[in-house]
Order: sequence, then C-alpha cells, then structure tokens
Amino acid sequence: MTVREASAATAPPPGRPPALSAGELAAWVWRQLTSMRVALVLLLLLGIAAIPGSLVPQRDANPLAVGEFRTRNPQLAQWYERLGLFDVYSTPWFAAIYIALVVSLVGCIVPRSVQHWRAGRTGLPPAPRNLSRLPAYGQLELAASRDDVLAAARAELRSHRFRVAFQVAAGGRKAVERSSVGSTAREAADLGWVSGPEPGQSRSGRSSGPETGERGIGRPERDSWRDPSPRIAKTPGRSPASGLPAEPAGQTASDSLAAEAGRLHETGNLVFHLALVLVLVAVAAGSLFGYRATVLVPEGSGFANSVIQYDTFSAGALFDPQELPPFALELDRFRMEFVADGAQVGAPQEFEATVRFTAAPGAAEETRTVRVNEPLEAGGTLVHLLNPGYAPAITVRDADGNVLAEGPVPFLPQDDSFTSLGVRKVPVAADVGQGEDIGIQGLFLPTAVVDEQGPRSVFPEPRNPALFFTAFHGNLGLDDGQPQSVYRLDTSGMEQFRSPDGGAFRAALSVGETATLPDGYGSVTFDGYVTWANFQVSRNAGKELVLTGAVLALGGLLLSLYVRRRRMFVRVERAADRTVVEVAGLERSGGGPQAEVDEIVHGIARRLTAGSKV
Amino acid sequence: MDTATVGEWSRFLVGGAIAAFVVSWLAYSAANRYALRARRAAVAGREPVLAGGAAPPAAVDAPQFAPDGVAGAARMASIGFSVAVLATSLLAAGVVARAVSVSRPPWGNMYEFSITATLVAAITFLLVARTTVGRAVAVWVLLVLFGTLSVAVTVLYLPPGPLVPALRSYWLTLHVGAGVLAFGLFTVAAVVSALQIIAERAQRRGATGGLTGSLPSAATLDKVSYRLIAVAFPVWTVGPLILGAIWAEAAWGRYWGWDPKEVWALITWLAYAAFLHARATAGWKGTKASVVSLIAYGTVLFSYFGVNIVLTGLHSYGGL
Ligand code: HEM
Repeated sequence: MTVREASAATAPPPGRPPALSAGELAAWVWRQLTSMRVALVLLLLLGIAAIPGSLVPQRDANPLAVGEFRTRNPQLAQWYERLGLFDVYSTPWFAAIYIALVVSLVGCIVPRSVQHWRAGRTGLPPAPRNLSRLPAYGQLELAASRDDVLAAARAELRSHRFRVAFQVAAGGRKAVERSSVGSTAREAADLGWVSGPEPGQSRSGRSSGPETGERGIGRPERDSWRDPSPRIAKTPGRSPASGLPAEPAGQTASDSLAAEAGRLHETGNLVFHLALVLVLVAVAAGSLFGYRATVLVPEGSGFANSVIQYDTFSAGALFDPQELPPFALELDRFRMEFVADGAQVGAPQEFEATVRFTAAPGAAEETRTVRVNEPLEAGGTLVHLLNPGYAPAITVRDADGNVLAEGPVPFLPQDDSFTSLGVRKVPVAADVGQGEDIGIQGLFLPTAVVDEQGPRSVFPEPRNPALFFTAFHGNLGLDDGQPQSVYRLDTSGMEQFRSPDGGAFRAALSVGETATLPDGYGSVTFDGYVTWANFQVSRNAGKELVLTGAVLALGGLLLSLYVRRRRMFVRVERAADRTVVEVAGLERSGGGPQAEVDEIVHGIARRLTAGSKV
Repeated sequence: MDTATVGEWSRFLVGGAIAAFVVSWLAYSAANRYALRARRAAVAGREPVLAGGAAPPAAVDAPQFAPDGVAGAARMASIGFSVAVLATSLLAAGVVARAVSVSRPPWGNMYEFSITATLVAAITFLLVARTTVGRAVAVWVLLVLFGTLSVAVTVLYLPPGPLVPALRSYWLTLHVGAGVLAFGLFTVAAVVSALQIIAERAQRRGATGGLTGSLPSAATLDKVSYRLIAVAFPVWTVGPLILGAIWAEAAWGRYWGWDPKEVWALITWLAYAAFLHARATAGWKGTKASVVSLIAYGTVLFSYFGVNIVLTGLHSYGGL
C-alpha cells in the first residue's frame, strides 16, 4: 500500500551494500526528502546559505561595492567569483537548497491535504479501552439512565463545538465495522494520537496515552509528517486499535462517544504551507517577467524609457523590451535639504524631484513630483527616486581657449557630508592642442574645509563649494574596447601633471575660478554645479499574487498556531443502579485538555440534574 | 514646553527607569537568596531524620521551608514586582515623551527602537511576573532589560531629530512597530529558553538546591517559551516580512531585493519556523527545542545590531 512497506521490505541486511533498483532508490530519496527531519534541516540550511550574501557585496544589489571589493582584494575576489559569492542568491548551490525545500514542501503538503480532506468525511476512531490512561480524564456517577446520559454527553460535546462522530454500541463492534471500511489502518494509527512525555517529566501512566509512540503522532499512510509509530503493528495486544475488529473485551454494557474539535488547526496548517508554495512560485514567475533599471540624471537633463539609456539594466528571461512603456522624463529641478543645525546637523530632511513627464512620444507633458517613498507610476512601471548627489560643471579648454569639454559631470558622494569623488575624461584628437587625452580626478566639496585629514566637506548643502583636483595626460584608453567606469580614471596609459616645484600637480577652485594646466595643456574652469538624482525604473510582475499568498499564509498560520486540535471520548457504563460516565481528552500537540474535560463532566451533570427537575 | 525640553525629559525618565530596574533586580535577587536559604534550612533539618530511617515519606515529598525565609522571599519578590511596575511606568513615560519630542512613533533609529523594544519586553514580563515562571525568570529578564537600556542611553543615544526622508512614511509605524513588538517577545522567550535548558539539566541531575532548584519545571518553561514564540512569530511574519516587502516596493521599487537587513529578517523567520517545526512535528521538546530557540534569537540580535552596525545596505540609516 505504501512507500513505507516497500522500503521495509528492501531494507538492506547489515554489512551488505543496499541493492536498490532505480525505482526503489527514487522512492527512498522521495521519502527522505519529504520527511520532517529533512524539512527541518533544509529550513536551517537555507538560513545558513543566505548568510554569506549579506556579508559579501552582491552584484545585483550593489554593483559599485562589488567593483570596489575586487580592486581592493583581487586575489580573494577570484575565489569569491568561483564560489559565486557575489551572486549568492542566484548560484546553483543556493537554488539547490531552495528547490529541495519547495519539492519537500509540495511532497509533504499535497498527500496530507488529500488525507485531511478524506478524513473529514470518515468517522473517528473508537474510544480506547482504558480511558483513564489518556492525559486528561474525569469521571462521574449518576442515577440517570444510560441513554439519557449519552444524550446529555452528546449535547454537551456539541455545545463545546465538538464534532461527535459516532456512537459505539455494545463495546464498539458496530462502529468499528462501519469505520473500518477502507480505512482501518489510518484510524488505527490515528489512535496513536498521543504525545511523547514532557521534557524532564517522568512518564506516569497518566501522561501517556493508550499507544504512546515516542515521537508523537503516528501517521498512517504517509509518514512524512510524523515519524511513524510502528509499534502499532508490533504490539497488537496492547493497542485497542489493533484489537479492531476483535471481540470487545468484557464491556458488553458500555456505550461510548468519540468527538473531535479544532480541525481548523490542520486546515490552517495546510493553507499556510500551500500559500507558501504560491508565494515562492509567484516570486519565481514574476522575476521572469519583471525588469529593473537605474539611470542617473543631472538636473536639466532627462531620459527616455529604453534599454540603451540606462546605466544598469536587468530583466527576467521572459521579459520583452517591447513592453517598456514609452515614457520620457526630464528632471527640471532636484531639491535636497538637510538639517541646518542642532544635534542632527547634516541629516537629510527632504529630497524632491520635479520632473516633466511625457507618457508617450507626442503626448502632453505633465509636471510631477517624485519623492523618496512616493514613486511615479507609468503603465505598471514604477519610477523611484534613489540616491542623490552633485555634478560639478567643469570646462576644459586647450591653450588657445577652445573648449575641449564642458557641462556637469556626476560625482559620487563618499560620506554623509557629500564629499564627492569623480573624474572628467577629456579625449583629445591627435591634431588638437598637445594631442594627448586629459583626465581630471577631482573632489567636489559642497562645504569645503581643509584640515589635517585633507580637503573634505563638512556639510551636505553648498555653503562653500569647492573643486579640488589633480590631472593626468596621456591615453585614457577609451578606444581599446574595454568597458570603463565613468567614475574612475584608468591611469595606466597616463602620466600625472607635475607642478613647477616637481610635486604632483594639484589645484583648488571656487565657483568661477580657472586653473592653468602645466606645460601648455590648457586650463580647467569650475563653472558651478547642479544636483543629480538616481532613478530606478522597475516593474515587479506578479506582486499581487505574492501578496495574496502572503496574506493567506498568515491566516493559515494563525489558525495553525492558535486552534488546538483535540479529541474527547465518553464512555457510559451501567453498574448496578448507577451509570458511570468517563470523559477523557487528548490534545494533538501533546498533553490533555483537563480543564475542558472537567467542564464537560460538570456540563453533563448539570444537564441531567436540570432535566430531572422538569 | 518645546520639543527639545521634552526630549531631555524623556532621557531623564529612561535614566530613572534604569535605576528602578536595578532596584527591582536587587529585590528579586534578595528574594532568591531568602528562598535558597529557606530551602537549605529545610534540607538540613530533614537530613538527620532521613538518616534515622523513620521519616514518613510525605516529608520527603513536601519539604518544609523555614517559614521566615519563605515570608522574606515573598516580601522581597513583591517589592521587586512593585519596583518593576514603577520602572516600566517610567520607561513608558520616557518612550511617550520621546515620541512627543519627535512627533512620530518612537522607533526611527536604534536608540528609539531599543527603548521601545525594552518597554515591550518589560510589559510582557510584568504580565507573567506573578506566576511561578515569572518569579523564576525575573532576575534574568531584569538583567537583560537593564543591559539593553544601558547600551541604548550610552552607546546608541541620539538627540531628537527629524527622520531621514527614506523613513518618513506611515509604513514605518507598522513595519518597524511590529518588529519592535516581536523583538521584545523574542527576548523574553530567549531568556525562558535559556532557563529551560538549565532547569532540565538540573532536573536530570536531581539538583534541588541552589539557583537551579528554584526554577519552575523544565516542562513549564518549555511551554512558556513556545507560547511566547507562537505569538511573536506571526508578528514577525507581518511586520518585518510582509509589511517590509510592501514598503520596500513603495520605497525602492522592489518588494524583495536581498538587502542584508531583508536577508537577516528572513533568516530569523526561517530559524523560528525551524523551531516551530522542531516542536510541532519532530517532537523535539525541552533542551533541543530551546537550543533552536536560542540560535534563532541569535539571528534576531544579529539582524538588529549586526546588520545596523557591521553591514551596510539600503537599511543602514539606523542612525548610530
Ligand atoms: C518554506 C518552508 C517551510 C516553512 C517556512 C514552514 C513553516 C512552518 C511553521 C511556522 C509551522 C508551525 C505551525 C504550527 O506550529 O502549527 C509549520 C508546521 C508544520 N510544517 Fe512546515 N514549513 C515549511 C516547510 C515544511 C515542509 C517541507 C514540511 C514537510 C516535510 C512541513 C511540514 C509541517 C508540519 C507537519 C507542521 C506541523 C503541523 C501541526 O502542528 O499539525 N513544513 N511549518
């Protein structure tokens, strides 16, 4: 019937390697994969595997930091590269754990869902023979007749929202026959629905049930949720379940009820896990269709939504560039404000971009505002304001005053006061000026000071803007086909200018000032500066599905955590002129609902005394 | 009164709370000492009788505590409780004053996060303080509260100020608020789990005296830490994960981006999921589960301190 039996039959004799056929091997792997122990290990393993990606910079999230890391530790970076440590979350080893977990999850949940659904339509196992051995137990003697007591017990259980499954007449025979149709094995094992001993507590007869599987609940056809409790099969005589459908032993005059409540625990648990699968699938599918790009825009310029205009672009495998909404965006004004004084001086206060937005070529232009946390939406695509910076405007002229390069160049902030680093690359044709490229490496300081730490900015707003720079001449290497960073000079083919005293050439300029380069190379003018904003353009496909899954998962989780699933058994026995009622309870999570048992015992008594008064 | 003055007041109130927590801790320590002495006296008084072999078995099962020691312990514990209530009230006032001085929920930076999470932990503790478990864990919980607050006012303190633009969103209230709540609950759960391990070892060795002897049963501690985690886990699921993803989508244009803070929130979630699994399905109770709970708490601490201080990412505006 089950995988379990098949495996038991093929268990290798000790000392000899197992001779498994491919099918058996597959069954074995499957059983391992869907076992709880492996699920637990995979959960922890996924957690551990996620750690390196938070310690090593990731290409996806922070390509600049990866670049920096590689320049600083070229040797180590090679190893990291080989192990995929810069892209942890897309490496095969990470995916392997993740996929194993999903497979395990599906392999676990689907059979269990089927089982749960079926169990909803069949009866409950009959009451164990010895109720006093269940973890919660109560007893009562009454003068009422057996039938009255049974009716009262049934009503009482119903009022506690128990599903009262069936009545066992004459020691359980009838019910057993009914319930054993097709599912004896399951019900038998379900009777092992008793927890192991509490930690640090010795096991008394009371704290363990009729069939105490050490590991808790024995699951019948699928063992993947619980470790199986094969004892049920091994110890027939002791188990009331295994006694099915044997002769009732000497209880000919007793009737019992079996009842169950809290099945929503199980339902919630299944919903939770199924919803997790939904989330994982939606995330994976969404990433196939989504895209993300960033573009740095200085004040006064703009971009159109097309792949070639972006600084970085990444998209899922099924993304079609044709789908990019054809909008264009012009950054009119970008305002940044910082706390001017007080304890948090220099902390950012407000970033606000005013943009002119055109939804499609030829459409009317609209003015919109984009703030942090307040993206602009265009045809399912979001435009976010990321980080800001300054772009000093630097004009380079040759010795004759001809402009070689001009306009703002974005510099990258290095600290909270926007000490910003950048370069201006000036390719020069062989027949112009000295016929050599010029490279300027500079620091833009919104509020410049020079102290023992060298030139730096002490406040992010431009109170005393200055450009500190040095310059190189030679070959920028722009023509050799190698991609280059626009924020870094490749000085391998260049030589630094020397000042007349023989040291490296350096200059410091305020807005409007000009410095002359040595040896008749021309001049550098600091014209001013504008701000820039980095925009992110992205579409997250499938996010609604992900959210739906997450909310479902949460609902399921709450049910699973807070609904306690429990069973009650009532046995009514006629002895002499009295009726003895026994009530016993069992909790799925272990332990017994003693308070509830007591309530039910009292409830039965109350019902019968109230009834007798009428 | 201007907001800066209110901010100063807040600082004094939190300082006062620290002092009061120390006093409460001393009172609970004294209570433990009394209880210990009483138990020793009881054990000492019983031994000769046992040696004589004539003691009724009942005397072994129900040791007679020296009555004055028991009364002393009860008195001290009740003083400790009252002072802890006072300390928590001072802290609550301090947190509220802080919120007033910054005109927003008090969890915009690590200092505010710490004092608010400590307040959650303190209230959680007060709710269970009168039970046996509460009494037993009191000294440890108070020590953790005192420690966190001290670090907050000395190392993490930031004067009131505006939020960086990235944090100015009502999502902050919900997302970080839930994080603070879960953090407080996980903290108490971790203390209980640690004690569970100690209690179980003591029980196995049959120790009855000393600090360990005064702990509630390992099974009770096990249940308490499970319940706390069962409350905190969905809160963590909602706050840091679901609301975090929604906010991230609004703020950064993607709901999940493997930012270090996100990664650690996920690791914490996986670790506590492993804990619940271990308890619910592998049938691990007691020490094994407690160890998983402590490991999981380690990830909470790292996602909070480690990520803010050691790592940098989009979330690194915690302010230190
Ligand atoms: C992404 C991976 C998973 C996560 C985050 C997860 C999370 C959880 C959580 C939080 C619970 C606690 C609910 C409770 O205590 O009732 C739980 C319970 C459970 N999970 Fe998972 N789980 C995962 C994968 C799996 C897998 C792969 C299996 C099967 C092999 C599984 C089987 C179970 C079972 C049987 C329960 C206990 C149900 C009960 O108490 O009745 N889970 N899971």
